[in-house]
Amino acid sequence: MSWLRLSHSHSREVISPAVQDKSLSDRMVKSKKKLVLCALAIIFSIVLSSSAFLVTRQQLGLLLLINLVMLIHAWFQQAKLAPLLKLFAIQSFITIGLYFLFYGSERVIEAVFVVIRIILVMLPSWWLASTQNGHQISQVLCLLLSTKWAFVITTSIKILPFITQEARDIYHIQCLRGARITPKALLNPLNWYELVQCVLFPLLIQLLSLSKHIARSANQRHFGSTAKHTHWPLN
Amino acid sequence: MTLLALHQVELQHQSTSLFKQLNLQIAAGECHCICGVTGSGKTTLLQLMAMPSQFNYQGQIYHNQELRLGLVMQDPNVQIIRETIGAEIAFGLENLGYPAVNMLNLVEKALAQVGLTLPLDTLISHLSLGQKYRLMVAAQLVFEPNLLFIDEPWAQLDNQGIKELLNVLEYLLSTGVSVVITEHHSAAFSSIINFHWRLDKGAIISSTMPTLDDSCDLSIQDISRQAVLTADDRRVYDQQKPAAQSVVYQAEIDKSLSLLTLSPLNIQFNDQRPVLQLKETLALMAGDIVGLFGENGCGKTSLFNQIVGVDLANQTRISLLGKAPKLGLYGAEVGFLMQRPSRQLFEMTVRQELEFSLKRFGLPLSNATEVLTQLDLLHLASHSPHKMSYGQQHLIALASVLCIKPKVLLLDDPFAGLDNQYFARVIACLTQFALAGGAVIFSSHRPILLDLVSKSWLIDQQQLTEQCFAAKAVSL
Repeated sequence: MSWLRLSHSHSREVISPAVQDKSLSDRMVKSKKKLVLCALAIIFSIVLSSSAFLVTRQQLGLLLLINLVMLIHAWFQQAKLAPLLKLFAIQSFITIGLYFLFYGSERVIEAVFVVIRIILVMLPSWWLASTQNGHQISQVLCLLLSTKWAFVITTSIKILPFITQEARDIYHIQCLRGARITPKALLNPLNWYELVQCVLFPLLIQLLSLSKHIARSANQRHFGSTAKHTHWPLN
Repeated sequence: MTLLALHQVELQHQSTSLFKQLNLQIAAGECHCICGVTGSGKTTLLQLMAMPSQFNYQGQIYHNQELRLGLVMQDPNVQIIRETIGAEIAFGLENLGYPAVNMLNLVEKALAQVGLTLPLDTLISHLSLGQKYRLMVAAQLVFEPNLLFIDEPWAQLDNQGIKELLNVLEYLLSTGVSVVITEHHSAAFSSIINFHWRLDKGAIISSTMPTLDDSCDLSIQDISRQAVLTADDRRVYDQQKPAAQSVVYQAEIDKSLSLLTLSPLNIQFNDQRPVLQLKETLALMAGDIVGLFGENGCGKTSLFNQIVGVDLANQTRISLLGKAPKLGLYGAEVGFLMQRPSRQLFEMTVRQELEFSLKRFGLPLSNATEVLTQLDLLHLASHSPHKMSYGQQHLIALASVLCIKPKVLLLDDPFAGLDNQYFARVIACLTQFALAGGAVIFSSHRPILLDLVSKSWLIDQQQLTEQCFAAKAVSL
């Protein structure tokens, strides 16, 4: 991709060692500041996610407002809103649909509140993943968890966009192969199994394959070989 | 000094013998190349040599005490762990507990070795595939390995990427590092290879450097120069030709009609960065085989997505079979093979995988047997597609698209991971398809098969243009 090939002229200019050291130490200080902000963001998102199930219905409005601000913040940070909104729409449709199916129209209001709470649980994690660097999250988590668990969590967050893209690609290709999974076809519940069979199963296979490759790549680069673990200083 | 040796190594895979009495010695500063047909076990062999503890093998695998091993797998995208190039290379150093202040010099040195002199905080997502590949090499070099394994780079990299990789490998060999490459198209690396091996029916056999007569070693360009097909494949093709001509297609195709018209258009990424621009009108006619060529990431996949209606950005500027593209509009009239098509596989057997589309479109199930025979895959019909090699899965996905016998066939990088034997079979199938009135567009990150294609669409410097080579149309 010629336009994406970052040219060598893009490379570092010749700078004196003293200036280079100062610039480096400035960047390391900046990285540390970012790390503190990341730690605060993690705490903030955990508190907000937990609150979604703890607050009363009356307090949900305030929580929604805070989440809306976070959504706008992430949008300014170049996060893609469309997939998230689509996910929320599908989740709302399924949850409210199931409530309606099992309990009739009486409990639809209850279903709406359940949907809002689920969205409020998910949104802070999405905001965290969209606005914070995975490496920084890993560094913060290392203070609380073992290196292995911190790696698993941050890698899982990092591959979320990849999974979304894979799911989208597989869905499109199966539609082209004649699968009965177009939005219109899915109005018939008999076709839901086809969605599971030809989109969810291949997606799971891809995820297993990806996790195997990442694990191999990490092991091959000495992951878990020593108890002492350090961190790349620039974020 | 022998760094690594295999002595009478045997490995069973799913109750069949994958490797039989393998013997191999790799000494310091040597470059070995192992080729072999699709599914012969090249990748497994590399992994066995690199991580023997993860396999239940017989025989002996000797690792010298001084061995420091690096492994670069086929697809760099699935090996990337971090977001910036500095952090990615430092990942291994972190695991070894290097002090943070010492990492910077080591990371910069590794980047310089692969010629990737970019700021350390460059996002990996902004790199081309060739640069990502070199980044993964740098992530290995940071440990100063004395033996480097590289798995099938040809299929992943464009010509520029191969050139960049060759420069890196030449440098490493000159510093005494040993290199082992597994590759279908070893001719591209002939300038650095000292020992050439072929993995054949579980045995590793010393073979001569690539020649035109050795089907295992033929490069894509060589096949192209030989009017596409080798003598054997030409015979197979000639035998199959009458059957292909007797195929009844869904509708008579008017040869004067354009099946696809691309009016001037622009393709952009979501962040408005331009990818490619088309200034003239391009048309695809019945019987055409069009090669869409351009470097990694130049927008070939984006163009395909717009043609089939996955992306509706230029819907009004594209006409496919007389309609504006929309997902699900064409049924069995359009066949599309995505990149990494193994993603679409979900059935329990190869035959079921092919029959899925045939059942959905109400087409005869016998098409599955016909296409499997053409591609020489009938012996795999009752096998699980999930246990096959990368190249075999690619072929199964291609067969599942071919068997619906569409009017227009769009193939995104259909030759990736195929050996020359299957490569020629696929070409024979495509030629038959065009002879019967179908139209094909295939993409590749290097110009290939210029003797076969009736038109070449080239993407260069963000411009998509039709190029006139000494091309011949497939006569109808």
